[in-house]
Order: sequence, then C-alpha cells, then structure tokens
Amino acid sequence: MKPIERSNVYGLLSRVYSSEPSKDFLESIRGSSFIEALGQDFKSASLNELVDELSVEYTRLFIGPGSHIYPYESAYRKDKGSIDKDIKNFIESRGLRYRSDFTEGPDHISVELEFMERITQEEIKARKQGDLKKASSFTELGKKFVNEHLIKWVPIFSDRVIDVASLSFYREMAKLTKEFILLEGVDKNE
Amino acid sequence: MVKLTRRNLIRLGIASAAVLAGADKLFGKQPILSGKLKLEDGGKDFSPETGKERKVIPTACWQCVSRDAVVCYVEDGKLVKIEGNPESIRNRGKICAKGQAGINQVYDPDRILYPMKRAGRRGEGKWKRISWDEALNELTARLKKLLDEGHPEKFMFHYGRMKGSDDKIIKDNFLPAYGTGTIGNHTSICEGAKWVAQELTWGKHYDVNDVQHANMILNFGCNIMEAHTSHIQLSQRTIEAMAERGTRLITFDVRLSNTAAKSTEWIPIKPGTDGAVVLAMANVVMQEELYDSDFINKWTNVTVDELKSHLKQYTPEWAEKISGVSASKIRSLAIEYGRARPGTIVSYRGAVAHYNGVETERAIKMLDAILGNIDVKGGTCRAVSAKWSYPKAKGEQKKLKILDGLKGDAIYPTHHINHRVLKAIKDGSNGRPDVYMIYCYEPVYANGEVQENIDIMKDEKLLPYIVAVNPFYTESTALADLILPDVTYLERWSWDDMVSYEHIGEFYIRQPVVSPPGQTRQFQDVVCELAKRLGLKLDFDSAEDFVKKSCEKSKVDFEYLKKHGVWHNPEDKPKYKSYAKELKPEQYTAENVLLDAATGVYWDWKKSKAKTVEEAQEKGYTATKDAYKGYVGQKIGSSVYAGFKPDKLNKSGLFEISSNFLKKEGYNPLPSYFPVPEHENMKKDEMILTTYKVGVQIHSRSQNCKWLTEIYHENPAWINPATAKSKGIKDGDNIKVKSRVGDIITKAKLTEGVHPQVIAISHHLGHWEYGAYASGRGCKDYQNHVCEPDCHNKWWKGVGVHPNWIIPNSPDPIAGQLRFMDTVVEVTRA
Ligand code: SF4
Repeated sequence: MKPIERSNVYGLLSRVYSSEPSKDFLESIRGSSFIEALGQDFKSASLNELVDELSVEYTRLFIGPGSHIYPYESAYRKDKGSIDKDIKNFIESRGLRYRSDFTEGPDHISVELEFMERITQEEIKARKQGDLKKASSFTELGKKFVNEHLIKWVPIFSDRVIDVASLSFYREMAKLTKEFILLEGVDKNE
Repeated sequence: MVKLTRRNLIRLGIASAAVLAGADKLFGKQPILSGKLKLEDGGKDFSPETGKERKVIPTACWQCVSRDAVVCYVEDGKLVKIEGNPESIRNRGKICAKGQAGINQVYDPDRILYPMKRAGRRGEGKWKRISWDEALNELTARLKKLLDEGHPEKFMFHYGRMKGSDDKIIKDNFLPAYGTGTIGNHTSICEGAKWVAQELTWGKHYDVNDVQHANMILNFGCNIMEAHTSHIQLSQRTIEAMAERGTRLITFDVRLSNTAAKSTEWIPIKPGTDGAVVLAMANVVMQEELYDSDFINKWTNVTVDELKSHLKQYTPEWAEKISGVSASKIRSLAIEYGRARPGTIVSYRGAVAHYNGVETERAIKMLDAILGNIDVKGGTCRAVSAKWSYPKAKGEQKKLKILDGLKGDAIYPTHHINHRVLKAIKDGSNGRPDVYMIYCYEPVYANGEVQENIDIMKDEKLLPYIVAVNPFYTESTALADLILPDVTYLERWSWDDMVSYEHIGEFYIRQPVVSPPGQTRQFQDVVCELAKRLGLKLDFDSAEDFVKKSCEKSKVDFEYLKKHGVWHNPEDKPKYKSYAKELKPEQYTAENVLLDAATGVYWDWKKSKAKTVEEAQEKGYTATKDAYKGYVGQKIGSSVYAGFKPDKLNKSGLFEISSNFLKKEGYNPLPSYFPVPEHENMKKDEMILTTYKVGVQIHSRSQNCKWLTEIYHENPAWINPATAKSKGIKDGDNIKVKSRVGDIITKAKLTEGVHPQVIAISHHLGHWEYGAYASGRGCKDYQNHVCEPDCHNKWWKGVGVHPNWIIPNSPDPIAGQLRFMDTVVEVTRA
C-alpha cells in the first residue's frame, strides 16, 4: 500500500473507534465502495436508525456500563505495567500534545491510530520535499510503533469486537482493522 | 461479502481516502493530538529511571463510614499508594486493608465515565452515552415540571452514604431550596435501633467507648476488629488497652468473629438474647450493691429501689435458660465488671438488629449508667466531633409520607425505615415519587427481599423515572433510566467531621488526589448547576467553594487543611461529663426560654412548632411538636445543667432509664426483655440466620476492588459440626438455605466457631453487577478477557452468595430497624 493509502486507513479507523458515529460519517461511508465490506444490515437500515443503533452498540461495546471491551493497549499488555504512561510519554516526547479535554486513557486505540496517521503524513511530506532520509526515519518510527504496540494488541482487541458485535458495522470494521494491522506489521514498504 | 485480501486492503486505502475527502473530514472527531511531530526527543523529557516526583496529598478515606485521614502518593498523575495520615488524632496514621485498596476504586476498569440514558427496556442493559448537557436538560425538565405543578415532594432523593459537606450541600441547601422533604436515608438497615434506644435514654446518638482508659470492656455483638463505624479508631485503642494495661475484653457473639478470637474470652450466645444477659447482669450489680447511687439519684429518672425491684425478676438462672450463657458466668462477669469501674460496653448490630434490639440497647446503656460509667474517662461517652459552620439555604419542604414504611411498622422510627420505602411505594396510598433519585444507595442489594426490590424498581408504573448517581454500575444503577457518573471519594472536595476517640473535634477535608476520569463529575458540583438551571439560589458555586466558605465560617485555615489534611484546636481538652456543666442564668433566662414544670426542662419555645407562647405553655415541653429543638438545660435541685441533650424526641435532660415514650405505647417503661417471636416456636431442625462482615470488605461497596476481592470472594455458610451431623451435612457440601421469602444455595463450612442453632453467612458477596471483579461477569474466560494489565491474574472464579435474597424486610416494632439477625431458616443438603 502507498503511504497515502495507509495514512487514510489509519485516519478512518481512528475515527471509527474514537466515538459514536456521526450521521455524515455514516453517509459518507455508505457513498463509497466501502459499503460492500460492511454487511447487509448496514446497507439497508435508514441512516437515522443506523446512527441510533450504532450509538447504542458503540456504548455497549467500548464504554459500558457493564461488561465491555476495553479499547486501551494497557489492558492487553500483560507483560507491561505502565504502558499507558509509556505511550503518553512517547507521544509527548515526539512533540505532540493531547487535546486538553480528551478524557480517555492516553493509550486508547484511536490515539495510537491517529499517531500512526500523523507519522505517515510526515513521511509523505518529507518524501514530497525530497528529503528521503527524513522520510525513511519516519518510516522507521512508524515501523517501531506498529511493532512495539499496535501489532501486540490490536488483533486481539479486534477479535473480541468480532466476537461480541451484534451489528455488522463494527464487526466488519474490526476485521478490516485486524487485517490491516497484521499487514502493517509484516511489511509496509511496498 | 468482500473477502479480505491484500488487494482489497489497497482498495480500502483508496476508499478511505474517498470517505475522508468528504465535506467534513473530521465527522465530529476532533484530532486528539496537536503540536508538531518531531523525530527527536524534546517536547517533554522523561527520565527512564529517576526523576519521578511523588506528590503527597492528604485527604480522607471513605471506603467505610469511619472516614479516616489518609495521605495519597501520586506518581505521574497516578495514585500509587495510600497510607494513614500520621497527623490525625483520630486514626493516628493507621488505616485498614480496605483503605489501602481505595486505589482500586479509582482505577476500576468498569467505572461509568459518561452520563448514560437507558436505550432498551428498564434493566435490559442497553444504554446510550449522552452529554452532561443533555442529561441535565432532561432532568431539569422533569424537576421543573414538578415545581410548576406545586409538587416538589414528588422528587424523592434517597441517599446511602452521604456525610459531611457532601450531605450539607444536598440536604441543607439544594433540597430545601427545591422544596422537597421526601429524603430517604439508609440507617434502618444499619443500626437505627441503637440510635433510637439512645434517643430514648440519653439523647443524641453516637456513643464513643473510651476503651483506651477503660478497665474492662464488654462487647455485645460488635465486630470491633473488623467492622465498627469507627473501626480503626476503636480497634487500635482496644488492642492497646489490652496489650499495655491488661484490659479485659469479653465478647458475646453467636459467632467466633476475629474480634471474639482476639478477646480475652468469647461467650457464645443465642441470637436475640443479649438483652436477657444484660438485664441479669444489671440485677446482680444492684443486688451486690455495686451501683453508683450518686449518678442514679442525681442524673437518672429512677430510684435505686425502683431499679432493684424491677430487675430482680431477671435472675442469672432465668437468663441462662434464655441465652445459653451459664448463670455463674453471668454472675461473675457482672461482679467483675461492677468492680472494674470505669468500664464500657460496646454494642452493635449483633445485639440490636433484632425484634428486641431497642430494648437490648436500652438495657446496655442502663447497665453502664447504674455503674456511673456514663461520659467519664474510660466509660461510655457522648460523641465529640468537629463543629463546622457552613452555608445553609432555607425553604419549606413538603414530603410524601413514605419514608417510614407502611402504617404501623414502628412507633418511633426517628431514623426512618428505608427498607420499607419500596413497599410503601408499591402500596401507593401515600403517593409515589415521579422522580426517584438514588445516591450512594443500593436499594436492590442492600435491603432484604432482593427479588421484590427488583420487581418494584423495574415497574415503570410504580416508579416512572429513576436516576442513579454512582461511579459504578451496581445492581440498582442497572435499573435506572438515567445514570449520572459521580467521582470516587479520592477525586472529591468535601469536609468531614467523624467522631473522635480523643474527645477532641478534628476538622478534616477531602481533596482530589487525581483528576476525575472521563466525564465523571462530583455530584455536589452537578447540583450547583442543576440549581442554576432550576433558578434556585445557592450561596456557593461548587463543592470546593463550599469547603472554602465553610472553612471561613468555621475559622479553619483552608490552605492549612489542603497541606495537612487535618486540624484540631490545640487548646481543646477532652470533653468528659459534658452533662454536668452548669448553665449560667443568662442562658436559661433568655427571651423565649420557658421552664417546663413537669420535666424541669428549660426550652426555647420559638424553636418548636408552637405558634404562640400560650400554646407552648399550655401544651408543655413534652407535648409540643419539635420542642426538643429548643432544649436549653435541665433543672436539678436549684441548679441548671447542660444535661443529656435530647434529639428527635422531647426527652428531658435526665438520663431516662425509665421511658414515658414507651409507656405511652404500652411497653414497660423500664428496660425489659421480650423474645423474638419467630424464635419462640422454632421447629427442631430450623436454624437462625446471622450475617456479618469481614475485615477486608465493606458492606456492599468494595467487591469491585480487586485486591480485596482476591482476598475474600467466597462466603460458605458456617455451621456447627454437631448440627451439621444431625442434618447429614459434611464440610464442603452444597446446602440449601430457605426462609419464608426465598432460598439460596451455598456451601457448608463446618466450624466449632458458631452457635449450634446459628447458620452464619457473610454479607458483601454474590453480586450480579458491579463490574467484572465483583460479579465475575465478563471475566469468564480469564485468558482472553482483558480489562486492565493484571486482569489475567484473576485466578479465582467464585463470587460468593448474597444472603439478603432470603432476609425478610421486617422492621422491629419500636425503631423500625431491619431485623437482619432474626431470620428463621431451614437448612438442607442441596
Ligand atoms: S476503617 Fe479502613 S476503610 Fe474505613 S475509613 Fe478507615 S481506612 Fe478507610
């Protein structure tokens, strides 16, 4: 995949997991070739219904109350005790800041995906400017982040979503997420 | 369906671009990260090993009602350790395991982080996350409607654990400003009978056993070492007295609790018969002339002769037949205790959560009174706590008459009958709330007859709108229509005033040690916003502001408290014998103060419900509604004393061993024994169910704490081997425990440490909500379930059983106390 495509997928998935879907977001997805991947109930429901149903589903899957799936890396990393702090430190040490009203944990899946979106964007920019050395440094940074973090937990997280989701939207999105991250972990210099 | 192949993923990349190229690329998602991404370090620097600054923040525990002063250690914004605050004169730097596990409350992976609106049927578990604005709009509209219709009382606020400023903000400000007096509490499932008995005898409740100076301690049914309301204060002083001065502690309990085990002697006793033993001991004290005649003559409303003749029916031999405690033991302990003055009697739910609980507590207070142990060093003392001044709002409060349960439930339910409130709502003859808000109260789990509680809460015809304010998804929260996520006690602003075993008031505060996660908000802040939306005026605009203003009014330095957590006036001396303080003439000759000839009470009639001075004079102190609020002092001979200040009842300033309040209702005015009716004609194979608490769990609110639940997550039923044998039950067998309201299945644990007629099942466990650790739900497959880094360390599976399913919500006839320890059950192999 080209850097621009990878960047787009990161951006899209980051949006998917960041909060309940908005109407225009769903509309836009339905207008794209994406729709084929997202199952019959996603195609046929009315948009308003869909926003409502998916909001309840998002709440049930990722927020609770009650038993739900935790969208944080720290929950999956049995080997590491303070992964949330580490992620925050790493991201901040790379010059980025968290939005002050961001109330999720610093290792939320949408943060990690957005971080990768930013890295790939910088990579593209550097390449455009002809700074290949810088571009490959960003490639390395991304590789490191994927291999040290995303690959270690996002596939497990996605499996849980695939298991538990009752509507096709999040199930199919989770499948895409898993495949994409596995691919990213293997080789992304095509 | 499109198959996932690499080629498809490339297509996906292109498609994503199409999605993201839409009109608004963000679709409501704001970027989380800002700033310029760099390759090199430099935005902030973090040393991998050192350089971590641990902040130390003093605050107060609130795992249990003891509310000890603590210090919290915070590293990188994370709470990592809690210890006792050594500056506190109350807990003196010590806390218990529950206090240390407070960290688990903050980092419970199952906390509710956002306001939630019910999306499916009530109780179905479907929720929609909504904004605070939406939540408060909805709530405001409902509350506004009730105001507009002139029915503020149809807003019922029902709280459980609410103390200090948290309580004052709601009960002395928001609710009066709104106009509802339909305010429920939870005392009747705790120790309401104890307080009512004290109100009948010496007035305002909370007795402080001055164990550290006592020569001997008797304990009826209290688990001092594990679960008293002042657990850490009392237990450390008890141990100290025993270890350093050889003070003897004699524990009467149906069960060998850890307190009984630590006692000098454990005396097993049949449930509900403590009163018989106490009366017999009082009889011995009188017969042996061990009493304090000065105290009896001057401060009580009975004579030595009256006492002697009333008590002589209660012989040790009579008490032995009833209680199973040998007559010689009763006699020797009575003499020993009578000679050991000062001594003090500790009592709690084991003694009072019975049909005859009020009488038992009255007898206990009488025994200490006739020995002159009242409010003296080393005796049974009146509570001393910090006296905060704080902003108050006034307003007329209308109320629904549902707080005291059903008609005829009890004669003096001065602490209400919360476990009968749902029944009263079902009954409906005194109306029903349109908005039922529960705050730190678990009507479903904490009361008896759990199934009925669920059925009533689920019925939208009985309760059209339920709001739950809670940081956690409890059994009751699961039945709400709207959930407002509160913060935990480690993220709040409040001041507090728990009683002090040094008899010197300690001022202390709670301050946030970490910032609240998600969109959780302290409810007292939410209330300030609600008030604004409803157009009500409060004199403060946040919980922090209220604490600050209270500090100003109380002349306590807010900045000092932020730094040290606690403060007491170094000039203060322990306040013993406060009743013997003589009043100055200007105090009782002030305007509006009348002398009531019948009782010798000076009282300010203006503070009562009397409309005119004539009405007050004609009706007199005892018959005028709320006259006790104007109590000034008690005339004895030619002097006027502070006396035993009444509360909730128009009692005199004497220590009333004889109670006219009870006489009026057909009871013997002197402390007497009557049996628990259900225990009178028990079938041979029936048993009495007792519930209890352990040292590492709090009532119903700590099972989400993984450290505590790792230690205690199973509660098999204690059965005496002799009894078990007769029923063919072996250790570890599954057994069925059945009462008239239901049955539960649990395992038998055979132990000599329980009375042969008793089956003991602890409280705390058997949750079916309250997150993964408490309920076991969501953590069925430990290998795959993930919620936090060490969730895979959850090696245990059991969640225990909850005994309240089979405990009837029966009230005692005087106070309305839930008779937790009276339930008769059949026990069989399952
Ligand atoms: S006794 Fe334990 S749980 Fe209760 S306030 Fe003290 S430290 Fe906290």
